[in-house]
Amino acid sequence: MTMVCHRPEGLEQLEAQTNFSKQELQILYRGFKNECPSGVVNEETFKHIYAQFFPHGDASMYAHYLFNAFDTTNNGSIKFKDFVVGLSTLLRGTLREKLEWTFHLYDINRDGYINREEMTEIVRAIYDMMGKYTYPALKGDVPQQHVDAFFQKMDKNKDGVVTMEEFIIACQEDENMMRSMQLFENVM
Amino acid sequence: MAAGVATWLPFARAAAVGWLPLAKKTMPKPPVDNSSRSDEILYVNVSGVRFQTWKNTLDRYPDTLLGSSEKEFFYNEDTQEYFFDRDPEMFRHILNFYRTGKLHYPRHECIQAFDEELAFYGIVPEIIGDCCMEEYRDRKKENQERLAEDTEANEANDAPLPPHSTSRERLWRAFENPHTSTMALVFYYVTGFFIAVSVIANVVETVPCQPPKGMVKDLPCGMKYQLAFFCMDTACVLIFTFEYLMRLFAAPSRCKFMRSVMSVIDVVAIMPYYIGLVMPENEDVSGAFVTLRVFRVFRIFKFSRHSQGLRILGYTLKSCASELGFLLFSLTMAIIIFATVMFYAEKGTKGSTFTSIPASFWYTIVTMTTLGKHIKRHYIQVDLKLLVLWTAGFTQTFCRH
Repeated sequence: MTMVCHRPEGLEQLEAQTNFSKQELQILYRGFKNECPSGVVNEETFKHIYAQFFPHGDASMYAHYLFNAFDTTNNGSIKFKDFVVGLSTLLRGTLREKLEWTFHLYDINRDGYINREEMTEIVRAIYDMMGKYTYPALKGDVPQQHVDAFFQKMDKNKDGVVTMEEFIIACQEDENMMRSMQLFENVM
Repeated sequence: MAAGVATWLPFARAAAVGWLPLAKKTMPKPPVDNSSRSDEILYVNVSGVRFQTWKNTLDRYPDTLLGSSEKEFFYNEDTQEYFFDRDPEMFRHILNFYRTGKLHYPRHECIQAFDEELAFYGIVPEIIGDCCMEEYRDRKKENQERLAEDTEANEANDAPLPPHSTSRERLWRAFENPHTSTMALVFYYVTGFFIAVSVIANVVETVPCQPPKGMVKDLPCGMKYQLAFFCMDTACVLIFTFEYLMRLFAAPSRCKFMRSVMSVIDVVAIMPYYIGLVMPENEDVSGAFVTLRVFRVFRIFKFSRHSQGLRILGYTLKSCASELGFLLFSLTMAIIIFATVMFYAEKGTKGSTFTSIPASFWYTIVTMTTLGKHIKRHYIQVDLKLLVLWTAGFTQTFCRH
């Protein structure tokens, strides 16, 4: 096992790039370093962590998409900087930043559009992860209905794909979602 | 992996943002984290050795002493630290458990001391990491066995008798601890002597003696002095029977006594004689009767009452029974494999000794016990010494006694 050790940039730089304070970064890094002494998280570890949080379902697909969303440099491993920047966006970012991040999560092939296949993949991954807690019980085409409902809401010009702008506008109009987003304000 | 969960929790919460757009209803509120996020360093003084750690580290395991409010009982206001009057060496390992999530067992420590420390700090031994678990289990088993032996030895010690013991209890005690009274000691030595006499008689009666007048061939002494040997045998058997019946009478639990190993050996030692008395002088059964006399050799095992060493050997064999069983099984497998190979290899050749697979068994066994040249099929000539040495060597690798 090669001891590849990655060190993050200095504390000041990270503080500038994220919305966390020095204290918070210290706490985050100590936990991160404890779990991954080599300084990077690979996809296997990611899936393992998620499996622990969702033991009743199969979280591997969703973890895979999440990993890709966090791994902005696309090199197969997440460094502390990627980790903390992603967290900062999701927990402390503006509404627009959060929605952009979610759009990137759904856009699996990074072409700027969400099409039906990508959405179906994501919905299926989430249903798999929830496992037996999905209600109603997972029948064959329930994910499909979910995808249809999503496209109905988001795809304004009915061209079969959802662009970033359509996504953001549609989300801002959705009251439920706005309220849920509020809940995640400042949760650490 | 309590440490892991705490670390990744904000991440799991953040990732929930990912499925918000798909949620049909509002999400439930996440649980509010009441504990203050600001971390502080705690000072723990264990018998003068000061340890420092983050409070969060200790909070990872809330069902232990250090993780719960129980540690407040040990807080010293004057020095602003937690004071424990325990072993600082062991505390190192306890604290490492909080830090890394894995509990290690230090090899040079006494297993009981370690267990006591774990019990004090409220940590269950089952969470010892895989790296140290085997060592821990072995030491624990060893310790328990030693304790069991000690208690057994203590029970059989020379404590004075309870004042109102019946004659039966006194008799039983005399049998179990020969050095408590002179009578018991005398009886002990007498039985030992007669066991020796019996075994020697068995051996001597097969030695060839001068033939009496009128015969040419050498006779075994047993046939020449038949009456003498018969009398000696009778005397020994009478003594053994008497001893067995006395023990049976004195035993506090007769059923348990009859089931014990020593009692079985006693019975097997004297049965052949009685069966011989009962059986008629029939030609057909005399063959079987001769075989029965072989069991007289079991009298030698009666010596285990007199020798602690023999008893320890018995315990060792018993505790290594599974390893010995495996050894036997693998030997059998090897014998069958090689015998089959030899048989089929020599199948075509005329005049081969391997006429069938069982016939090849014999060759294989003899070769495996490294006798090689002494291939005689008329009588069993297994060299017991070699076999025992070889078995002992193998057993040593498996068994740790």
